[in-house]
Amino acid sequence: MAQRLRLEDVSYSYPLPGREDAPALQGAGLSVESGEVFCIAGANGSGKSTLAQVCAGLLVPASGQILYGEEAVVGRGALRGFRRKVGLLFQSPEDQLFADTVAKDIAFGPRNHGLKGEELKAAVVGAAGLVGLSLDELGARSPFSLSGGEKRRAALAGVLALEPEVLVLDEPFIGLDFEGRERLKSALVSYREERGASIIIVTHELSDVWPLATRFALLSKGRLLGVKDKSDLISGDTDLAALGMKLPQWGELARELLRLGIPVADQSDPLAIAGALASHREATGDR
Amino acid sequence: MTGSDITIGQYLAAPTALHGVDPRLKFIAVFAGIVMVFIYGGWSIVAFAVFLLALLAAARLPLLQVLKSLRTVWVIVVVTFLLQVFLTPGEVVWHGWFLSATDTGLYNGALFSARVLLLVVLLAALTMTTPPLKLADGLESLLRPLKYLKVPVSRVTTVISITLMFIPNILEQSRRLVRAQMARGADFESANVLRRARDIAPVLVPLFVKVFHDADELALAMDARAYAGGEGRTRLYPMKIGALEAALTLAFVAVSIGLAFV
Repeated sequence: MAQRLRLEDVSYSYPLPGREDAPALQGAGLSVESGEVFCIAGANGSGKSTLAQVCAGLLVPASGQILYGEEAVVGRGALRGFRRKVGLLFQSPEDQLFADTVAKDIAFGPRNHGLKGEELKAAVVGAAGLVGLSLDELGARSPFSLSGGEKRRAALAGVLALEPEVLVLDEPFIGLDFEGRERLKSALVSYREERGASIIIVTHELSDVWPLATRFALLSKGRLLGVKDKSDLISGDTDLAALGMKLPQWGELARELLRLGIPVADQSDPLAIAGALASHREATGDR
Repeated sequence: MTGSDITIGQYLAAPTALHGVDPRLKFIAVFAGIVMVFIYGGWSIVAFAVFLLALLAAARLPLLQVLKSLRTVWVIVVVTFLLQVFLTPGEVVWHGWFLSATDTGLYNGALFSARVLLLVVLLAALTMTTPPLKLADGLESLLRPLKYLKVPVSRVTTVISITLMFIPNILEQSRRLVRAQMARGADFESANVLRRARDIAPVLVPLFVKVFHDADELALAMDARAYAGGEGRTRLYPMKIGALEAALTLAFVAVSIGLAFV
């Protein structure tokens, strides 16, 4: 796969009135490929949200550089163009809804990009369809009257309507019930499959992102400790507990099977892990 | 104006004697300063400005940060200055088109502008050297006699202190919303004023919704923790006035009055 977005040695500090700036990100570097689901994981206060906003071009790094494809994003014009290609869904995005109807709120982004008439309508309908929102039912309603899960999906539709090539989501699963989380996951999978978009999910809780992501960037106190795949995390070469996180249950099960010497064909696939356990039980007669 | 321009309400901690002065004394000193600023003329106001600068340095307040607070009133200062310069009768020192600037107008314009600026600096110095909760405690203590007139002093000061504490929160929230709407194509850096004005609504509407929602939740949370107004409430840290702080306040008031005779 081709590289789509790369950060090189990026640092960012928040200005504090009358005091020294507070560094939030120090020398972070990562690369996200086309069509990849990439996870940025870290405990609260590790700099995840800052990194997400740098990835979306909303915070300009104090040092280091952002590359989109092979081109460095330098200067106001390049930054503006870059922002059009990267969509960011903030934490609690339902707090950002403002229009008097759901349809108008979804249309806000594409209108800003100059879409109108049928083209605008198609963008709104397409985005609402991707997240499973019925515009016939909800399009004319106030976004403030929706349930929590519906608000989150309406906000996601507002970002997807811009058809970003890279979609960054900051803690997207927080506060959603099981059905809401599953709907959101399926919307993300649909969008990636239909548009070939890269998806960056920022989270401190790995269980929801585990089936989606292929690689995990581990962040602690503003520093990127490395990029790992699932087998790295399962094999235990990184102490997740020390970073304020833990493996999801499937990962723990795979780790335990490996410790007992039971082979698991694909350590990242829950079905393969379950299959390995079942085969072992069958072979040993263990019930 | 960006959030970082609003400096009133932002406490800047430092281990200085001025930071430690009892909030009630600071209120009295600032009140005396404000009265004197409106009494001063010519050189007195210049001398007071120098005195105030020395105090800011003693309190280790960054001058740039204090000056930022003046940005909020620059329109008032410019309008005041121009009205005084062109509408005050006196000896004409400049004439152009249908406007005439007079020497008395220039003097009054400079004086009134200086008064507004010093007023803002005094208030900024007060909030920058006193945490919001202490400000509210001091205000409540000073206004306590009003309760005999059935004024709900404690409730009013609680509202003021919560408002002050929430200013940085609201600023951060608005900065977050600006970035969120920028991610959806809103252009707050556009040279087109109309477009910028249009893009304000997507920030203001959710900001108001969030602020009212948070205020509601805070009220419920305070209710749930048995808050029932001021009567019978005790203090975690009772206020005490020490000799040094009383002396400092007296010195400030004395110097301020003395400067009127410069």
